[in-house]
Amino acid sequence: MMTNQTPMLRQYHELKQQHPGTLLFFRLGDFYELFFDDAITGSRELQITLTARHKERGDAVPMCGVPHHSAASYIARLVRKGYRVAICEQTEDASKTRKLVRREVVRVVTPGTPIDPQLLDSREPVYLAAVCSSGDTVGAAFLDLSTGEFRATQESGADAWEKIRADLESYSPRELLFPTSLAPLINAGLSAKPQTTPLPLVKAPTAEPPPDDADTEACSRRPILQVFLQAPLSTLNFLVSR
Amino acid sequence: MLLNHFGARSLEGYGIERKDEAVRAAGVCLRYAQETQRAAASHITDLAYFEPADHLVLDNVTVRNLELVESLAGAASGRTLLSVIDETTTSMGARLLRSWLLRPCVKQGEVEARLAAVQDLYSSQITRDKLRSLLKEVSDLERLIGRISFGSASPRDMNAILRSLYQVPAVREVISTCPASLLQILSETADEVPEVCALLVKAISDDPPAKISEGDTIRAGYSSELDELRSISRNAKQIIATLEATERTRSGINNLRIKFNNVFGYFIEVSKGNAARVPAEYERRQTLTNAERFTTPELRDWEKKVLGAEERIIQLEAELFNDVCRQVAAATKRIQATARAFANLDALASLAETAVRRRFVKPVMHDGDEVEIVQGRHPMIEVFSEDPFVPNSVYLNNSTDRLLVITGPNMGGKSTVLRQTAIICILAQMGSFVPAEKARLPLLDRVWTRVGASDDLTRGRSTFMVEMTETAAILHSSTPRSLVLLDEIGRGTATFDGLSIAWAVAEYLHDSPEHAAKTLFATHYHELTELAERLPGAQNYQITAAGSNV
Repeated sequence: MMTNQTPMLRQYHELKQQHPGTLLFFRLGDFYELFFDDAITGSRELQITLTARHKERGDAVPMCGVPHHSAASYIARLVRKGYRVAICEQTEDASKTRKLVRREVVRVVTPGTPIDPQLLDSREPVYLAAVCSSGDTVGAAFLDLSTGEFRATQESGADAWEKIRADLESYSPRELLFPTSLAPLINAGLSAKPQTTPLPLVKAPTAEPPPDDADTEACSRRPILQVFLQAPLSTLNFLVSR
Repeated sequence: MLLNHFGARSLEGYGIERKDEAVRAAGVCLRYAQETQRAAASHITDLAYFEPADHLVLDNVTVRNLELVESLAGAASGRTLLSVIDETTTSMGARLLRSWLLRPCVKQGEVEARLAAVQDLYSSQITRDKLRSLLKEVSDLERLIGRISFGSASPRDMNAILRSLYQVPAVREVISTCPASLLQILSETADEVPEVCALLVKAISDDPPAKISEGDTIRAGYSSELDELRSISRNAKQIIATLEATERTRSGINNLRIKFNNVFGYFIEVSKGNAARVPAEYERRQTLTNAERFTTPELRDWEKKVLGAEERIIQLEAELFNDVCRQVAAATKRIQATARAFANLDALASLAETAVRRRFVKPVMHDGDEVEIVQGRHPMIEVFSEDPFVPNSVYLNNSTDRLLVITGPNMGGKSTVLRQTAIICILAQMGSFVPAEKARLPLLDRVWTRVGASDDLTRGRSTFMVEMTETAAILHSSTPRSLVLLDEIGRGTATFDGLSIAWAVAEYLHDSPEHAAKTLFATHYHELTELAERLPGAQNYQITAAGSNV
């Protein structure tokens, strides 16, 4: 199937692979377009028309789009519903190149990392949180990207998870990062608001090793050594709460 | 990675050196933030390590049931504790107040410091009013700095930063009359960053647009290149008139006009009749029914200059603006310090203003175990209910009065007494005055709540299961410094079972030396009043209807 695709769609698939678990807003001229499953999701969630590309060739590609100058509110709507949106721009002047224009993802907008005022309530902070553990020690960190507020804590012993859980509830993060191994604990433990469906596991593009050792796509791009600790980060799930 | 980001050699300064899991979690957050934003997020200048035990722990059940930040009646109703005490004038202050409420202090020194500051602002209306009116001129510096770091700040944002920093000297002066040490410290840490102010005054015009592309952002006199370009553009009209006059004279055609459209740019237009009399060097561009349009090399030259100038103006303004942003960003830490100072002052002023408006009193905090509230009131019901509120007094300690069994008719106010007791303790520990005639309070480590019958059906658990699970957590982890509110336990099941469970829970909490928290137990089971006779630490309170209180 892949060999029949146009260069542009091949480029699209490459970018999609680099950013799993997101809706890819693909810049095409004055529009951002969503393709394939993203288009179906986008059309449903944003109530915009679903069309198709290459209808004549028989392998129609579902597609829907929004104009670039009004995209911000559409993106905000999706993020508020718990989606992660990868924004892909044309990084060279389309009129100056005759072949496929270069494209790059310039930002991924996620529920826990909003800086667009449309996603922020002035009287409430928005936290991104991460949890990890080793042995009987549980650590947690909270970041409000809009202001730079950044705190971390950890607890050890039998009550460790209980105490950290109270903190998680207190900060009410809009997005929580945690390794797969903690998934059962987190799903059972976090009460209060219902959660949206957990987004797909983020795997490195080249990953072959078993899930617990696979790095996030973020890690795969830079050597693990840059992380302060020696222990590599295990796979992270992105769970969106509220 | 954290070391790289903060440019530090060790994490010792952040108090986090041997806290591996905390560091790991922090690293994950930071990496994710940077990856998704494709930016260094340099406004994240600090990592604060905290222990869960550093504050009064309020879990979700408690926060929800006491309606601290969200009402049980639904998000829109706004009848929350936060809404009663929030008199802040800045968003930063509002957010800080909210975090004080959700994570109150647990150390006596901190609480006393805030109370002293609130006291100063409470006693002087002039100081308080002046401070609050100055703070009204302050914008959300915290988020503005964030926007600068991401390159999404607008010209108006710059002005907002300038206006905010300008308030520092005046704020300092207002606070100078207040003895409280916390206020003095805040006054000292507020930094007006004069270099940034000077730069912004010089560079940004008085009334800048919302978007940099709209022009008129950079003040005249800041860049000579920009000034020159602007004068060309501004003088365009003047130059047209002059050129027009010149051409009219030259050609002798009186109705010659110089016009502009998006297709041809600038052109000379004469009526059909005059077309033959135009000078030789006129080049025909377009023929219309009644007119002919021409251009000349001179006109083309001049056009290039003008249009080029306008394009270049926009480009140059953007370059200059970005440079200004960069310079402001270099002072991020100092501006953040000022932002924090303003936020704290705003939150303290809010508490003082509330205390005055709602007739709150200053609580006395002590390191013993007694809770003594005289004529306490429920702050939200008092404000939002139409009926006059009946105050109630409560006394608890860890010996003779550690379990209060509260009985009485339904809707008689049992739950209210429970809730207001907890709310008063929480208010005190966040540094606020409290709704009572008098209050002497200990420093609690946690407030536990089991209130009402709730069905957690979304997660497939019945009321009974929910109650039991939550109650079990309390029995397992409470301490003598905790406060436990039990409201109608055992309601979700058959009467006799419910009664037995209620009795067992109360007894356990009373008897266990490790977990014997101060407990308020509201129940419709009149049988439980027997507990007061059997258990040395239990007391009966009875809520009676209208008029008389116990």
